[in-house]
Amino acid sequence: MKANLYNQNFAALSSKQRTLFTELLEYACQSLEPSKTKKELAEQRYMSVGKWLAESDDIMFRGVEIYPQGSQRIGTTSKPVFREEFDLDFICYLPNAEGIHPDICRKKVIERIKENGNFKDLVCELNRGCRLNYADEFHLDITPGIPDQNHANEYGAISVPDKKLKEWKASNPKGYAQDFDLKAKLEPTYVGFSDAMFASASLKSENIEELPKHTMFKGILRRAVQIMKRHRDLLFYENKNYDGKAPISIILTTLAACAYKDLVNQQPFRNELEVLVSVVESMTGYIETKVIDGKIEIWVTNPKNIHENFAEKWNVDAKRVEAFHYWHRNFVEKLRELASVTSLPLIKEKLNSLIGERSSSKAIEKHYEVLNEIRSSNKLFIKKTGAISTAVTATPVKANTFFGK
Amino acid sequence: MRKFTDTDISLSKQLYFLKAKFPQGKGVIKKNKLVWYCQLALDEAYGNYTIKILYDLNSSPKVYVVDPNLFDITGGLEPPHIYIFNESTTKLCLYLPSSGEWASSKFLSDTIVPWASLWLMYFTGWLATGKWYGGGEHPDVDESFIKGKVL
Repeated sequence: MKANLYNQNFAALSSKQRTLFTELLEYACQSLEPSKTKKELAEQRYMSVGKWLAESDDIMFRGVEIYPQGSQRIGTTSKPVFREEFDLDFICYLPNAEGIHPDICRKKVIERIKENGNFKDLVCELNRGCRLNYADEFHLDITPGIPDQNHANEYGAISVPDKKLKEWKASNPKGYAQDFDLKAKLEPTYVGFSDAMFASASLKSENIEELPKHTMFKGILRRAVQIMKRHRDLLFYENKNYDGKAPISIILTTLAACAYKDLVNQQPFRNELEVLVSVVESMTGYIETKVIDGKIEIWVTNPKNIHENFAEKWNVDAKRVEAFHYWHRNFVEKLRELASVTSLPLIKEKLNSLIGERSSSKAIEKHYEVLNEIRSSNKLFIKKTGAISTAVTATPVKANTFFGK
Repeated sequence: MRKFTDTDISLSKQLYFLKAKFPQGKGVIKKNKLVWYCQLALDEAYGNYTIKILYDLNSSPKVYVVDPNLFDITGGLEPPHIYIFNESTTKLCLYLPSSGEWASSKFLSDTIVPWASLWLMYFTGWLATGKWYGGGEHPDVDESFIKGKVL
């Protein structure tokens, strides 16, 4: 079992330090997601597009349904680098558009949306569909989909226009999301967090409050994917050597999910950071090589469709394979560096290069917000050593107002 | 000079409680002045510091960070809520004067020392991002003038 990255770099850290890393990564991920109001606004917006399409007299739009797909559906959104707008992907499912050429279908969707004055100036055409561009808020990317034309014969299967808009191609965002949700729902088991630990803690007169908690991450798999995507976006931003070659999100997501599923079933973990780091370390093991028609191909298989290779392009463009490994090596290196520092300013610096300046600042800010909440409810204490903590001691930290210039 | 009142806590009592609560600290009372040195080992992320408290019953406590040299650490950039900040002296502002947060009827060990630790935590945050997360008030000439009038 791989746990080298953890054993060599994180295992020796104090549990306080690991908890701090986990906490900061969690806060950083929260900052990568659209706010609740933004989410609600996006929902309102796509619902109104759906409503508008449904009100069309054209029979093609009868029974139309718009639903989220991709990262926002599975909860792995990651704010783009140096841009305010989130990319939110939707399927515009048209149950009555069978038999229509994909390009015509796409054009009709765009035309219909443009007929509405509210949307007209926001629409731009995309390869597979169209985008509604709400400046400073989000891009709603809409891809038309029709009932399964490719005999996928499974839950959620639909067909979407292929890149060249020549034919309908199998897709299954609903099925993929369901599969991802099931994997993400799996919970790791932890060693050491037992009655024995409480007993030994009380013997050593440690405070129970300070025992490691394993509830810090809001879903380790989702957080892992967010961090990976964020790091990828930063690493390849204006990177001329790998322009357009960065590993696509579905590849990172799929590999991480496969690794996570196997890991949680195989072994208990010491803490959440170990889970995260182990997922990163073992994810490359899920890149397969298959012999297809006498040729060796690299595969990242769609878990809901064994005939779909998410890494299709890797076989015609070696630079993409190189880019993936470049990303992975760099990511592992950045995690290693993170584990090598202890002081908050240095942690901040390492987080900068892992997840970006903005997210790491937000993480630190949130860390202090939480401290301040505890402070204002008078639940901080000082230990004999001088350390401030929530663990109860004889000396609470009384309210004060820092003064002076 | 303010009057000695029966609510004042004596220097020897102050020293006794400082020693009891922070056994690593060392202090003496000489000529009615208390000097107290104490190492504050915050969590790893915030670091270790040594502070010095100077106190007598005729003035408010003065708090210095003596180690490490914060001036060197910040490269001379002055953090918020500081009375004196130069190569040789870092003197902290930990409470609002005349607000009752500090009074000579209170224990240094229950107020000044925890506040110093807290200040150092926020200082570390300030080092990391350039922002002061600890709140507080900055003296304002006009405001203190008005306050002075009211009083």
